[in-house]
Amino acid sequence: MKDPPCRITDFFCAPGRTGPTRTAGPSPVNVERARRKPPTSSSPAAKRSRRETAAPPAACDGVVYLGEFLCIGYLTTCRGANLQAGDPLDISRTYVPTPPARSRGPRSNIPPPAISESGLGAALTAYTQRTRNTIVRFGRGPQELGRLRQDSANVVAPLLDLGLLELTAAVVYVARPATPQLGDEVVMRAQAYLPRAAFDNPTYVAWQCGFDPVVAETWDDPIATELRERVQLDAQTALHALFARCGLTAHTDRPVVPDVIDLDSSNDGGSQGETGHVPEQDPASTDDQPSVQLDALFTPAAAGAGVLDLPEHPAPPTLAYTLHPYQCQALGWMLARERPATPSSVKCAGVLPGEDLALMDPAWLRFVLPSDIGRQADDPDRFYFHPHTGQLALRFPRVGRCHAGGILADEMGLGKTIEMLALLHADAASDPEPSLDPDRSPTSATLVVCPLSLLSQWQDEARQSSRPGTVRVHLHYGPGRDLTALAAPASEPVTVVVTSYHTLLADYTAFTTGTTRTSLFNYHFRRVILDEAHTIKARHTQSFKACYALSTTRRWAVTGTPYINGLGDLFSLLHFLRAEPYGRAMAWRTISDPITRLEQARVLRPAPDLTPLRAAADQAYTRLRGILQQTLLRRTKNLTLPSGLPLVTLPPLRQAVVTLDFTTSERALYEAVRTDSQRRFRLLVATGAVWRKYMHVFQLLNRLRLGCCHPQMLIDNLSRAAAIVDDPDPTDLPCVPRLRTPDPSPDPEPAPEVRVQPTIQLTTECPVCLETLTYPTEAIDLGSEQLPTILLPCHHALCGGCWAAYADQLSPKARSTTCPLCRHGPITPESVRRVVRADPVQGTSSEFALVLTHLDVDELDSDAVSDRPVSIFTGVRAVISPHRAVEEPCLTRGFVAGLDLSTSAKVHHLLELLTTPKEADPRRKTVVFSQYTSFLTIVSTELDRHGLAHGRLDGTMTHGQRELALRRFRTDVDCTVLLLSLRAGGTGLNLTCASRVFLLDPWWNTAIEAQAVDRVHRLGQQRPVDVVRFIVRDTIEERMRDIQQSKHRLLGEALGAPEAADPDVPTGTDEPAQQHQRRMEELRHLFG
Amino acid sequence: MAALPKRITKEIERLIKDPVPGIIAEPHEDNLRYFDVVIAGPTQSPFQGGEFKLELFLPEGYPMEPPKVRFLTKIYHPNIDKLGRICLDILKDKWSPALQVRTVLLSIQALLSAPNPDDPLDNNVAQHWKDNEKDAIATATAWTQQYALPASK
Repeated sequence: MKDPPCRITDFFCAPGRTGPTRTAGPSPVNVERARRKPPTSSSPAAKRSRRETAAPPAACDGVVYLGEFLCIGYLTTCRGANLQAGDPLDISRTYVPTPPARSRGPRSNIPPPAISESGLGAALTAYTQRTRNTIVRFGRGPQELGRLRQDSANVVAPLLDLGLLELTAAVVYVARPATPQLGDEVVMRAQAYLPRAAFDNPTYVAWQCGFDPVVAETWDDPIATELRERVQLDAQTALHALFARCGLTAHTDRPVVPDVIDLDSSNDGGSQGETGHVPEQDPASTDDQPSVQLDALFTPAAAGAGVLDLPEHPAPPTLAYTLHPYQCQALGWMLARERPATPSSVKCAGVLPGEDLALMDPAWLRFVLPSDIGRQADDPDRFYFHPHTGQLALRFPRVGRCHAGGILADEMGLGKTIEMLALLHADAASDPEPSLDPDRSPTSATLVVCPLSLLSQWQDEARQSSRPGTVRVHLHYGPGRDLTALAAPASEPVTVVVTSYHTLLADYTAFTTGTTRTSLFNYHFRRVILDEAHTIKARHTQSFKACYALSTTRRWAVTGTPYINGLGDLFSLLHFLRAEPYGRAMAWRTISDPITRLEQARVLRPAPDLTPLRAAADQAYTRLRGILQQTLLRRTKNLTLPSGLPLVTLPPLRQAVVTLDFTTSERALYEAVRTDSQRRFRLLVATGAVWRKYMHVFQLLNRLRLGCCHPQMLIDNLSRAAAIVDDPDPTDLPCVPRLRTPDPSPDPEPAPEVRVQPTIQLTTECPVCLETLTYPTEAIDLGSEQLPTILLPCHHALCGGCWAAYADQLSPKARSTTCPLCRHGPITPESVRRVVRADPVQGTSSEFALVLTHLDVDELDSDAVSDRPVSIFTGVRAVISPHRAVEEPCLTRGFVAGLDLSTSAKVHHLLELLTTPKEADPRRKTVVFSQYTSFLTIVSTELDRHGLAHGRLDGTMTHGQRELALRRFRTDVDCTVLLLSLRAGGTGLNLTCASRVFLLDPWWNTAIEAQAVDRVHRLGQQRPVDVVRFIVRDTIEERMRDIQQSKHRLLGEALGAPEAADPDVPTGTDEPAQQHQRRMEELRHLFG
Repeated sequence: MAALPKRITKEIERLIKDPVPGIIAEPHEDNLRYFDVVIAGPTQSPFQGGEFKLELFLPEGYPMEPPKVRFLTKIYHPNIDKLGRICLDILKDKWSPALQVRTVLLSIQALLSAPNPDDPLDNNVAQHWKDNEKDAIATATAWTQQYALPASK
């Protein structure tokens, strides 16, 4: 018979009578019977400690004991008559009845799916069905007795589904053991175990759910993504809950990364021009600018003093260059990144034996297992849990070998190429490592992917920087490319394959479509380096996928600008690097989401309370800093070493601005166009159309800038816009104010006259009847009510009916007809025009054009429509609209004919500078930049005329042509000038053979100008560099300089770019309203 | 009577919405073509401080015909006769349909500030103005005080 229960609490303390039993579900792990203590009596005097039950199976049995918790269930049957305290219970899940073909087990009959979508789809369906509910049943033997209450079931069910939990349970209390009723509560004590196999095995959960994790890693398969992410999310939340339930807490004194900087004081101005933006706001504002925070991550200060203190690695002997000390440091860092087993010297507090902090992802949490139960000597006393990926580990989770590599993000011009080549030499190995994929042949070569313009640069640098016979360079480019040379054994220790992004993409397309040509994707490289890695910042592009699909063990991303637009760029790089775990979207989102949320909340009006969001974002930044410290290395040119010396010394840079004066013709033309542009701009402002007609404004600005360079360019532009017209008939037009050119010299030569077409401001209502003026289309019957609008020669408009009435009324008195508004006259019927709506003029922005046709007075009574459209502006249709009047014609041919278009002030001065060398070095080479290729053409012609040998590089040239031009410039002594457009020249070009830079026209963005100068003033430059900017006096260029220097360049460049949202341009963080305000001020300033 | 042209309606609306400073023009309720007008004497003229009543009538041919305007208040002015008729070019041959009631009344007000004795309606007054302007101005002022002050009638 059973002892009568004394008090409920007795049952809570009763020592267990039984050992742990197997759970009902099948388990893949052998659970050995544990050692048991002999059952003691259930005397109340037994120890009260809850934990003094039978010893749980030790970890060596294949499970790890986590802890115990109480849960409550309720009976669903009346047949639990024999439930006693201490009775063991089986706990299991129910499964939705599945079609007979499938078994009930979570992982039994579903075979590991082949690489096909159906496998993943089946796994997803099965998983979804399984997890549809969270019913957990308990029973004894084959008989089900009841269900767990929902709160416990929610914790337990997902883990059972994922195979992550084993439970043993024993009854603690039943209300009426003799006569159980439906719904009676059963209190039970459950002991939780995690299967040992779940630790240190990131793919455990995947296999449990029946899918191959490698397959599910496919990027763009939605089923795979959903399956992977759901499983992961479920696992990590459930484990969290379980740990909480069992009373396990993470150690809070776990050290993260050495505490470095204070975010608020981080922006020390060392941030780069292209990434940093010092906010102009009130420094007392408590609102942290997020871009400040993000920039701060990249300042060397953020990396800590450690970045300057890295151990130097001796330069490899096969390298022909001597390395700067900081380059040796980079070499050491990179080697360490490739061999993560290298112990680091970073010391931190709180490290337990066996841990090496430099190698741990700071997000890992350490849990200490309950230690007051009998534990064997080799049982683990702690485990690690990653809260963002749900991974468990018993061993210290060091960064695995799968993530070898990192991001080299030194500032432009510090010699990243050399650093990379040093790495190649230091890690030279003639024999290839075995490849993981049988389809790819291993090779010991390193693949370098770079932009087209840098192909030859890499080749040359590789050859020149290596001692003879130590490097083999292979160019993979062009239609006849092949890689068979890679298979041949090499005598040189280092092999480099250089290719471009485009070639890589082409190979990738060929590879995925199955053509059998050997491509880059048939090889497993020792190392892959992406130069200018920000090229692949967009993950959805084929280029990115191509880069991702390369097979290699070591990956490097080299870029001077690791982030351009924000965190997404960083993530692309991390994903490419296969960084664990933040190269995976789910883990990354735990960092980027708080930051994005803060950003979004910031712009809300009314402003919500940002404090909790800011706290979360700060945490995210801290973690991000930790990640970056491990993965990214960045130094800038203006760093000073602890010894006080600058990081790198370059020869001095002398900047000068030369202000030129227009020739008379240039000035005349410029002024004409300027006043016209100004008028149009003011009209746009008055009608509030500036932002809508943005392209128009940009075109106006562009015209003025062309005019500063060379008048011919401006004329061409105007001709293309049909803005030059024949001279109008003088009798037709009223004479307009003549613009006289400023005539400083007492030259008696008469200044050319300008006749500018006046702007027609059509009134919106007829002055006589006060009705709104309408502009019917030509097709409208004249007999209808709406009579067309009449335009008088004095450009006053009124409606046809009123005009007719007025004219009728006057003629009997035989007085000459005059305009009712201005009394201009006499007005003959021929000079009166009818204004009719027609198609808009090509290239203008109006919705319709108004054509002026003759008006036959008799017409007003007849239905005939005049078929002789003649515009009052000879040759060109007038573009008039009732609300905006911006007509296209700008100049007359007569005026243009009177100009001298042969030369321009800038070209003249340029030639002067180039043909009369003032210094002792006549062979000094010069690089000339302009934004306009047409201008470069003009300059080129001029240089030819003067017999100056020069080279040219622009976007229209093929790779071979560019190579030729570059080689010639670098090696030919007589070729002293190189004409370059910056966009085609590209970043990264090394032009240190030159020591002079001419910027022929200003850019909106000073950072681009700085890049241009950086082609010449960079590491490797021996001589002082002179930079000359050409600006014309009293023109828009001067005003652009003003804007540049007022540090509003970020807005200015948005002004200058017609694609106003250029993704390559970092935007300021002002509100849109403020931005608009500023831009408007700048526009006003520009137009004068 | 023909229906009132839109123009007149519009003009009335605008006069009410946006009155001319110093001028009150209100149409009669039973005949919208007939306006009661009060013009304040312009400052720095002998008519300063006075309020002059006028009547204005828009004939059938309006706006092709000029409105008919007449002073109801006695005024000593070379271009205004004792019956109150006004000698103003825009009311006669220089009329244009582009002109409106508003502009007409403004012109009349301007005429008060700038009398033109060379184009007179009343020869005597004009002569007086030309011979002895100061005296004429004094008379004008006196008449203003006598006839045009709000209290007097």
